[in-house]
Amino acid sequence: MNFPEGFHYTESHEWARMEGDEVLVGITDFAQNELGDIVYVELPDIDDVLEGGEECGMIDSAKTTSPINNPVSGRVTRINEQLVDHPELLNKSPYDEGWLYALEPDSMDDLAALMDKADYEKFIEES
Amino acid sequence: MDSHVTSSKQTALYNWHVEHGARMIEFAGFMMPVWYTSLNEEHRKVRESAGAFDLTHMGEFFFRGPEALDRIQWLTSNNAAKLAVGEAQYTLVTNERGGIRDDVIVYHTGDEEYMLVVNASNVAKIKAHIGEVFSPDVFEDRSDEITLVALQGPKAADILGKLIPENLSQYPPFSVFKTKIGKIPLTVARTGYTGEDGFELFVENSDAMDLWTTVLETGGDGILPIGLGARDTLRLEVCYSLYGNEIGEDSNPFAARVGWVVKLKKGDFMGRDALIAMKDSGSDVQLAGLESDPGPLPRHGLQVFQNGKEVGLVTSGCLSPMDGRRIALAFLPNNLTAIGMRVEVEQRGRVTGATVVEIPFYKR
Repeated sequence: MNFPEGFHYTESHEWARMEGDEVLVGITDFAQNELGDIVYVELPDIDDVLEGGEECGMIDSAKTTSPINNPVSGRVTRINEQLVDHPELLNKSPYDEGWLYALEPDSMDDLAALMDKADYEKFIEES
Repeated sequence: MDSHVTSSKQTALYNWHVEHGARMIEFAGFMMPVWYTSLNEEHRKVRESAGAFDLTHMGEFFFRGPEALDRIQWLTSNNAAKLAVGEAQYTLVTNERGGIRDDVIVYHTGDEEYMLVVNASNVAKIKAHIGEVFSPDVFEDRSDEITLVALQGPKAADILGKLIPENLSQYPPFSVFKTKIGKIPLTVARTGYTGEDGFELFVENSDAMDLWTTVLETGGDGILPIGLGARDTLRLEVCYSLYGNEIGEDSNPFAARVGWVVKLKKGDFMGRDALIAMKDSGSDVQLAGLESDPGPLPRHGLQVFQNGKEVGLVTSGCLSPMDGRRIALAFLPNNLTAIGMRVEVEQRGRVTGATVVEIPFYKR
């Protein structure tokens, strides 16, 4: 399983990473593997103001429904429209084409509170 | 989550599943494959060609002797007296209140011999139930010794036909017979839980791996191993009940669309008086089919509303792997079960519209 460097990870298996002055959010390779075939994604709306840890969307796999928990507080600036017709991008490309949404974060420092690659790998091993 | 739970049982095919990359989950005390590569791909393979399922977690109870039929008749709602040797029927194990202890298939496997195949999650309960109603020695529980492999799909008969001497065209749905694949003795039943033609193959655990690999090798590109995930979506498309979802101890079988296996005129059986009363008084609710609008999927346990008022409950739901519709079964008040009626399903505060549609959702 692949967990890129430079990404920040949550205990509920989302990732967040800086891109310019935005934070991009997605789910990890571990999450997509656990969920299996992803068939629908419900994203927050643009301009939604989200708290860190807030439930802000849903992912339906063929088997089950899971919440999306927002990693860091901020305002939603963009959502990945491609996921409407191609939710399977979350399975195929969880760190790239399968990104969920972008945030204008309240503070970039909030990213530091999340797990880095090494912490997350350890977290998965122990869970 | 991938860690091997030591208290869970492993089927004789467990190592094969793990070696072939199956995602294993604990279900009814067994570690079982939920999918191998893709639930949707496995689902479509069964509809279009063939699939093999390890269903060893199911229970097999044998009733033998001159009183076997009478005991089956008392325990179950369908009329087992109609079964000739070599025939099987879908039926319900009922409780005193006319509710459903389990839904099962009774196979008349031999002279004065019946096999009851019970749901994995109900093996211990039904075992205790029979022990209480009669006594524990009126039947033999062979669940731990028997491996059940289902071979399902339009190509299932071609595949099995290459392995056994019998001409399968002489064995209609719900027939059962004993035969051999090479040196492996097995019981073959033309039954299943997918809505497709297919077979359920019962063998001793020691022959399980041999049977499994033989079936898969014979099927070649035309067959895939199928996990429990696709088993659930396959049965939901054709609206077969899942115990714990559509039916349970407090069910009214007539409202749950299984009233067709309640034979009130066959003679007395457990819960018959209650069932007569239920049939006479009717039910305020019925199981109906829903197709929901784009949005989160309707899932087991979600509430159904109309104009903001709670009116029903979703029992099962999924995205149909065959046509992409968001399909669900739900108990709805009688006046809302007409095709085209509009309701809403709430999921985590998000309300999605849904329409009552014809069931089954999929027809062969």
